[in-house]
Amino acid sequence: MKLELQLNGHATTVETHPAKRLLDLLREECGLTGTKEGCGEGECGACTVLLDGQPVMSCLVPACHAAGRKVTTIEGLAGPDGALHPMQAAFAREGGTQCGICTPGMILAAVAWARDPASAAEVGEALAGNLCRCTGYTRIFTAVAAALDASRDGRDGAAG
Amino acid sequence: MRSHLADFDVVRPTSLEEALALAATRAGEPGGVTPLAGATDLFVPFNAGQLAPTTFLDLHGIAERPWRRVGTPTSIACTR
Repeated sequence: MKLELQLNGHATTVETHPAKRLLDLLREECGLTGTKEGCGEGECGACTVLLDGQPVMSCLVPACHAAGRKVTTIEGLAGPDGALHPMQAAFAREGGTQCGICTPGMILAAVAWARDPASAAEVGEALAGNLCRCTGYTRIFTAVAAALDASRDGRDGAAG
Repeated sequence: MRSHLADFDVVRPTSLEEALALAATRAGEPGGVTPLAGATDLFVPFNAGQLAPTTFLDLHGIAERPWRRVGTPTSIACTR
């Protein structure tokens, strides 16, 4: 099928099989390999992307369900000048990364929470769908808190 | 092992009437039709290569969403 979607702010048309995983569409057809495959069965959250702003696991989303919708991957967070999104910057600054496989999904889930604080009571709940195999949760949670603190102080916008 | 995409087809009706007609006409074909709503349950066995080839009846194209989930991915009750 000819699939039309808004991919990281750009109107995009791609020829694909409608049942192809959104994860594979992004990585193979669109060359956006920042989205990682972890478990491939909807448990780990590594492949999280934002679909119309909502975090979804792209290994469980058929490509046809992205038709006409907005998809944001980790590549779509940085500014046009390449400046890191405040949540990305906080992860880098606080060392909220280790092997890096979970990082794109963690950051996108954290950004979704920053944009909709009512969606979870605390960071552990907000990131409950994202597993870190390096057991690095402490620094990840610290990074998210730092980004949110900076946002509340008006220094930068973690919810941007 | 991943399922072979070529073994699967997707039809995307835009109305309940069209969906029911497609379900009726394609039910007798090999693999039958499998309603596809959120896909989160169906895509686990699909990704694992454990889903028999079928035609997905994608319900996302129906604007009024006239269904509710009642249990398994294929148990979808019409609410109208």
